[in-house]
Amino acid sequence: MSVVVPEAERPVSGVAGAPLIEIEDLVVEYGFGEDGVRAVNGISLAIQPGEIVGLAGESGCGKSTVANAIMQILRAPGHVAGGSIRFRGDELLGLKPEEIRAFRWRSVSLVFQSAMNSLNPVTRVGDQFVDMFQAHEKIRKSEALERAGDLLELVGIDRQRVRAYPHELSGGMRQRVIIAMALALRPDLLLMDEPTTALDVVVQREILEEIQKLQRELGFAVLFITHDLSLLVELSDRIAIMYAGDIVELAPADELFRHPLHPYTAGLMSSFPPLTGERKLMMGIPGSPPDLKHPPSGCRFHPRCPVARETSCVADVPVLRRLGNDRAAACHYAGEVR
Amino acid sequence: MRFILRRFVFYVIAFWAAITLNFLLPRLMPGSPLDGLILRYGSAIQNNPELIAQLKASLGSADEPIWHAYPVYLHNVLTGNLGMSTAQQVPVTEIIRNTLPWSIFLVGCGFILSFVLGTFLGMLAAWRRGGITDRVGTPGLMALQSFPAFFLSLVAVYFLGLKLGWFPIQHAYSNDTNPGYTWGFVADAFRHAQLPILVILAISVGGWLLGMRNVMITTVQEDYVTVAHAKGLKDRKVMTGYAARNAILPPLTGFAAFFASAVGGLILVEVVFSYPGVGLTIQQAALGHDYPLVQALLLVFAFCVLLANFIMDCVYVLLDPRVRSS
Amino acid sequence: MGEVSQTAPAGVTSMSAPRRRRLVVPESVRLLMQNRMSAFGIVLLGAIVTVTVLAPWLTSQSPSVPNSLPGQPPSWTDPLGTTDQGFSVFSQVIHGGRISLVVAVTATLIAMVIAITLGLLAAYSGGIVDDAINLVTNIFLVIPTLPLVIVISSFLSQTGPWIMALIIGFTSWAIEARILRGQALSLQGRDFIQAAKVTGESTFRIIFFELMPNMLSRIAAGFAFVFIQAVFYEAALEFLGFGDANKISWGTTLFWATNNSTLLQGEWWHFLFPGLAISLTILAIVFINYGIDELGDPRLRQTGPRKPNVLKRVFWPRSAT
Repeated sequence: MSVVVPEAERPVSGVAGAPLIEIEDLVVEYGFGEDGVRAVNGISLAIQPGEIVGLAGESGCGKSTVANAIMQILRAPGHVAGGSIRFRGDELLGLKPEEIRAFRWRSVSLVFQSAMNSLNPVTRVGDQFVDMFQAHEKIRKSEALERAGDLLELVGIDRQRVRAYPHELSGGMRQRVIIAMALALRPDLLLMDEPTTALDVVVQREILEEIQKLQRELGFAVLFITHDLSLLVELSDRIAIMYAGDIVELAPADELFRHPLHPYTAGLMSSFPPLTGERKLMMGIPGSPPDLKHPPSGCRFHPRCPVARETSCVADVPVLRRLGNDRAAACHYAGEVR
Repeated sequence: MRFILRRFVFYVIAFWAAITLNFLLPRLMPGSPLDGLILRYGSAIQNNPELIAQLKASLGSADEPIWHAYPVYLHNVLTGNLGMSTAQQVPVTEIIRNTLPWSIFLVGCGFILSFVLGTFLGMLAAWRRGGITDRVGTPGLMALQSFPAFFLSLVAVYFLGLKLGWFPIQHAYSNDTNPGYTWGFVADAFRHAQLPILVILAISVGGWLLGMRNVMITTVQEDYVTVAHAKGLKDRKVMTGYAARNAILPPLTGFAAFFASAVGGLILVEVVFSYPGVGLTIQQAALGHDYPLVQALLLVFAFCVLLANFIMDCVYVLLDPRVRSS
Repeated sequence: MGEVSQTAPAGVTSMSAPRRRRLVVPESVRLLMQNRMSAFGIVLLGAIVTVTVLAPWLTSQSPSVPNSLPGQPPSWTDPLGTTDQGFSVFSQVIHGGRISLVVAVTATLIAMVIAITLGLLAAYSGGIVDDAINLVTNIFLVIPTLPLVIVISSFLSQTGPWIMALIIGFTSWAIEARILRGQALSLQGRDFIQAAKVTGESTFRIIFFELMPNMLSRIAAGFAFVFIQAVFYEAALEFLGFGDANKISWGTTLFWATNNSTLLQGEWWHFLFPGLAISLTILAIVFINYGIDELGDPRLRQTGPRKPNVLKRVFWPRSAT
């Protein structure tokens, strides 16, 4: 069910000016007709140029689907069933294949979770850069390899590795290669889908610092998708929390951390133990994510919510409503949970 | 490199196993093949003590203990002394020299062509699931595979050869041409090879297509294919350079089993078309109990299959860099 | 017309119509029948087997006694024509199927028993046992089957159907052994196998009661595949002249068809029908296999919008997707 947020209530981000990418009431379904599952239930989100937006949620909440929808690489039977995605004002959905190809990577690029699997295992790393360059511009192979080397150095890898095969590199190096490849055409927006989940903590930290450094240098916007909220809190400007296909809260990072408005966000926050400070009782969130084929009525979170009311929460779907400066939450009783 | 070395050692062992099998078979069979031969060929053998000695070495006899005979036999084989054909009274090696090239010609054109065509069609069928190639080609060629080689050959001979008269139906070349490296002869040979090669194609393409198609279907869902699309690469480039390039590897490893059965198909095709290759020869020899020839041909078949496999292993190493480091 | 309709119209429960007893069909069979290709295969195979089993009752003409004029094309009295010796081709085909199928089934059983035992044993034992079995398997894989079988047949003075079943069975196990070993290897790292080991189950029990039941889909596909090979080799051997030429089977019929120059005389029915019988049997198994493939790997099943069932649209517009 698509919920329209009136113009006045749409959250405005901290940076003024026209948004880089604007998602409006996006609906993505897997399958058709009766067998269809709504993975994304009519979400709206705007990202400003140079902004880092985090998108967090449990597995299966639809966050990866959003990224795939933007890049238009949804795997069958997934398809966009409604809404619009505008990049610099131009509608992306419904573009011709040639236009989509040109848009991809140049304007928006994507970093997957599994770096090993993002690289063609039988081709040299450099050649994969060459393929990408040659798909977008007329360039000689030697020159493309040169630029590939530059990009590797940008992410801190010896340029000789251009001749390496993916399996010859370590996990962390491969991830850097993927990031380098994603930035090759200087996109305006970088989508990162769980880029560090498969790495150990130390490498994770290195990669995150690398990303931050590059973002400061090159000024691209980032949509950082992860289930690990702790990463987002220090990395992003704003954070959007997704649950079962809806965006349930949207706020600047530090405010979200200090004062979550939506019960789900509050639950997530209490799910990780702080290293310092007083000992807290770990709460977690009881229950499990809903079956998207038969979602709960009304608010999708109500079966697990500590402050759910029998009447309104079960009957009415809460709208993502603006609450104060830069903040929005989809809850009838936002702010009640501490 | 080490991979290639290991494979090479294996093939040597396998060839040794084939030789040993050859040595053991006549000795394990009920009755004495040697006596059977003497019965059948009578005087031709008995007046030739050298021949008898050779036959004893390869077939075994009551007065030669096995551990004696085995090294002798091994030595014979490895020095190229494969004996005399009892039916044709010429050295076996000469027969092989005359017939093997024809078989290789047929195999080379037929099976290699079927591999190329099959994997190409399989790639297309998987890329556009539900497209024409998949809906018509896959079940169609698979159905064709069900028809045994000899049946298809007969059908081809009868309908395309006899009834319609489009192709010659027998032998490798016409009776009135002289073998030699002349253009006329080569053209004639090709004309005669058309129908056999067509049959070979019919029986082999389906297998390659299905194998390639099934692997492609799972390969297409790999992340690097999605990323390739995301990078803005052209559809065809992703299909060939990223998906097919990876998908072709598993079918290649099935080449060993394929070639072993391809040899079976070759024999049947040659018999129906009276094509003078090693397939027809082994059938005639076996029916006529020409044991030296039969044994030698088994070795020839084994050797060719092993060689083909070794070549394929080298190709695989070239195509898959991950194997080189292990 | 005057009959009582057995099926009540949609939406109306009728008390008078007798309820059909629902068969409890296992998921796998249901899936196989859903796939159009494997359903077709099952039906075809069933038809062939039925016809062969019922052969003596389907025709009064004996396959080995000349009944009619030799060399006759298909006609009403002899639906598939007669051979040049006067035997009924129809009778030969349906009687011949018995030997062909029985030999093939026997050979398949022998080969699969060897393949399952060796494959699972190798995967489970690992180490030297695995290496040894692997070596033997690879050798058998690489030595070409038909030449080997021909050589063996040539040394034997006579080869009846049972000998052939043995020969084929003992030379066809290698492919499946290797495949099953691979599957077992991936399975045996799983926890339930480790748990069984730790609780002291005997190797025999683990292999046959823990490992094997989880591989049933692959084993079924293996049976199908080996059966195809067996039918092929059995017919091929007889066609080449290494079978017992006096026993009527599909292969021997083809052998006589080519040996007596019936081709040149234009008697196409002599070879076409036995050949078709072999091909259709193999085709049936191939189609069944297609369904088994999709059973084991759900990713191969068709995705995308299910095309609306045209029949449903026309006759039951309200229930169409």
